Amino acid sequence: MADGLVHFLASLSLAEWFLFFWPFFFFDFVRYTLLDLVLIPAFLLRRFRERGARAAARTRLYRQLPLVSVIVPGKNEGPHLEKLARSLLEQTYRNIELIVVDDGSDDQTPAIGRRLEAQGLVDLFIRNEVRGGKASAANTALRYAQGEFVVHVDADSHLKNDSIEKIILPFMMDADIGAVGGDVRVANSSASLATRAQAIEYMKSISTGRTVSALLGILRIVAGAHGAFRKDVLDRLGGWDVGPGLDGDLTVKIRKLGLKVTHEPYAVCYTNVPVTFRRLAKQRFRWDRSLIRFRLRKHRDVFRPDANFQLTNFFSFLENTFFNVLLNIRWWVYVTQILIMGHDVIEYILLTNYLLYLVVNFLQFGMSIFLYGNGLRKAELALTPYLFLMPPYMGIFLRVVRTYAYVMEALHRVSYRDQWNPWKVSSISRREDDE
Amino acid sequence: MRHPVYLGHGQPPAGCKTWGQDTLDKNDADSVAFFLVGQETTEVLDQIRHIRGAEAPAIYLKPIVVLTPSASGSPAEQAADAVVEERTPDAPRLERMVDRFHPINQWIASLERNALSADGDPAFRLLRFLVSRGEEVTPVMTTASPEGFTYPTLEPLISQRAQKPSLLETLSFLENQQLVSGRFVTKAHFCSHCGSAFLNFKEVCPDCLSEDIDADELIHHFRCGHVAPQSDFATRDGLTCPKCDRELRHIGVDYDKPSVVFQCNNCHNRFQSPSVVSTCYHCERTVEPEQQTLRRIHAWTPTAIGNSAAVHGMEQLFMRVIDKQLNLWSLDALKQFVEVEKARNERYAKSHTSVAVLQFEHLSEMYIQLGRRAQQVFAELAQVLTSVLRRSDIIAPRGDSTFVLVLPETDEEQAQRALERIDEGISTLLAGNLESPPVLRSSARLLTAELDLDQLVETTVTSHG
Repeated sequence: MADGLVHFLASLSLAEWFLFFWPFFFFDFVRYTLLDLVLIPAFLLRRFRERGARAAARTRLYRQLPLVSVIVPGKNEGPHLEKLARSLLEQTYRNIELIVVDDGSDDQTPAIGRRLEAQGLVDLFIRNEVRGGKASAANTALRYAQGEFVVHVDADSHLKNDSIEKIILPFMMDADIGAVGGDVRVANSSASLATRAQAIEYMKSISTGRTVSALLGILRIVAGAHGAFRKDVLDRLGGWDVGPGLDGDLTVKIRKLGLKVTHEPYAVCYTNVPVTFRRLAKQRFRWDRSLIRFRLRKHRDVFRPDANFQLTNFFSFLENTFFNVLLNIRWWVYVTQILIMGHDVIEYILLTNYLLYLVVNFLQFGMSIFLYGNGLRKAELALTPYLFLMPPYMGIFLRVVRTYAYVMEALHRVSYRDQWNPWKVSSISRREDDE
Repeated sequence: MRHPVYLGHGQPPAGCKTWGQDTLDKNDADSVAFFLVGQETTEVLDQIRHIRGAEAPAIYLKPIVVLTPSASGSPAEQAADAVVEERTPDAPRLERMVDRFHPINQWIASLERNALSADGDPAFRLLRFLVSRGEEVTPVMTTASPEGFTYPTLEPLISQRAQKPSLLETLSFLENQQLVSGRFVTKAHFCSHCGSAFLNFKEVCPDCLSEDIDADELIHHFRCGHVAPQSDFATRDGLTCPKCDRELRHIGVDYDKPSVVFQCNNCHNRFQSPSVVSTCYHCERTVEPEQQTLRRIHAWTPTAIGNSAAVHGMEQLFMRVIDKQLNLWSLDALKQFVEVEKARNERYAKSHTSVAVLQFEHLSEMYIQLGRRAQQVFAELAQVLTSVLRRSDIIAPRGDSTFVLVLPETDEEQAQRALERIDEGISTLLAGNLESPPVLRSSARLLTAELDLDQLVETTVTSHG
């Protein structure tokens, strides 16, 4: 087998290398690996150069001491609330108000919330008897937020003790920044194979990936699990809109205002991810189909060259759409091509692909560790052996789920019937979008 | 033949006798069928209170009829047994009323002579009144009394007694004694400090306790997910979403109202669950509602025990219980038996008989302390006696709380031991049930020809007094 592989590879001409492995060389390697290898050192270098400005901004932050409203909308999140509230007490930045909106929970959440409010751990607990969906819950919190900045946090995650300080700092350095995404890392990475795979995925796609995107000015999402916004910007936009993928939607709207969106890899939030592959598939199905809805339906105007046209927005969209939708189609094209042209050497092609992507994964993992620096935890290093699983996880499992989501959304618009929104909300927005 | 007695000014209606108000207790109370009181509204209530405040049951229990040109539901009219809307009712009408009140008068007449002399205890007076009327008394809401509720017919019975306990407290005392039973009518909060029923309940800011708070109803616009207080949406024409400028027409279709948020105008705190406090109109103290007294307001009817206690007096209950368990002799029979024993002992000079006296001091206080447990404790008390006494011993009551025992074939020492055992048993029992148990006095003597039983009883009862 090994001899056969060596023989097969040695026999390939340069043209044949590209013919058989074009997706790797033209897309994945260039976009995700080469850029990382160049831009992460560039990012760290810039960070180093900016250390004086950063220290000055930090001094300004602690002198001005703006109020930060941490908002936590959610349903049946009661059991997580106390831990989250206590993690806020540990923050280095202390001028925080915590607003929790209970979106029609049917468990103990109202009682827990009221207790925490009485104990002073939660500043304002709003119970919506009638469920209105995640956007309305976030908007309720926004309406009562008094801070200059709003940090949106998922209840089932917890923040590192300097996380609020770190996520607010970029606003103090650049007045054009409208939103800052916090770094989301996996809290339960050692729980199962699925969580380990996700932990590695988050390291490269969020920590490294979004840092690089931000550096390029094409960051397109601020995570709901941990994202900071200027309150005045949110007020101007009227907060969150209805629908799945509302985090991405809001980021686009902020970019459309001409404001910058950046990623702060050292504002760390640990979140719990699905423990089984089955639940993971469901979660990704929900996330992925929102791309179709928000890029291609709601915000297709960024592709139109008119008065509102902005080049970075255009590229951001193009990059996102291209690498997600078109590359997804490309993948199936590639599979078909290999089946037709290389059916006699298919095992060597697959093996070569595996090895190529494995090398890439090691490089990317190395970049993440380089980026984390002091913030690296033992749990993350312990993931190293599981890198061998990453090519099939990323290349097959997630691709299949994504393709299914795109097809379903394109054909049936299933997200309008999203179970995460009450029927009344989904039905209204479906009707309005059809107009 | 009883007849109506007129207590007003001027000419009495035909067939009525006239009494001066201050001569109530100097006339023959038995001949009264009912009292007629006159027209001047302010005085009438005083007259009713005067009658109901009399000491003799034959006076204060008598029916009262108010004469008025037009009934207005005044406190006096509510307090009376009947109202006649005439200035001078004719004789047949009065006769019909005499007939109507006949059962009440008969019940009053049936009370034993000695029981008719004077009733001092307000609780007992209430009970007697309730039993004499034989009807349920229902509570009436009133602003005239700080208790907020009154029983108009009962109120004059204790209104002249300014000191506590109040009417409601007296009734609940009677309930504790199982003398009256209540039917639930309503519930009411009372000031835990002064007992006033007039409380002002207010929602306040949980942080600064300010009462100056506003409630905002939240609106959730489905289309754009905007959530804000209704005031943000309000326009002259209705509701318009400030985020997307669309009109909100149909609740449930375009929008809903998921919750209410309060805003404190004093400290600007926002909250969903305001604290609630209550302030007493009378003593002006402000406390949380759960610290106020919550009482059930009842309509009352006498119980079977109550009916009997109204006739015989409240202490009788103890005797009834004891009697059931111990087979009491009458004192006269016991005295005869003592004579027989004296003769027998003298004749044979072989055996000894002892007599003993037992007295429970403050039995009625014990009764009040025990409340509804009285009957059970009395039964256990009787049980102590049964366990110590033998079948050949006989026991007879003297008055309400003294017992005379004859113990055949028992010398004085043995009799003392028996008394000690009774004392011990009863003390143990009562110490477990009462904070201050009544004092038990006892003495025993060998029955000799010279022994005077009455004297022994007297010395036992008074020697410690």
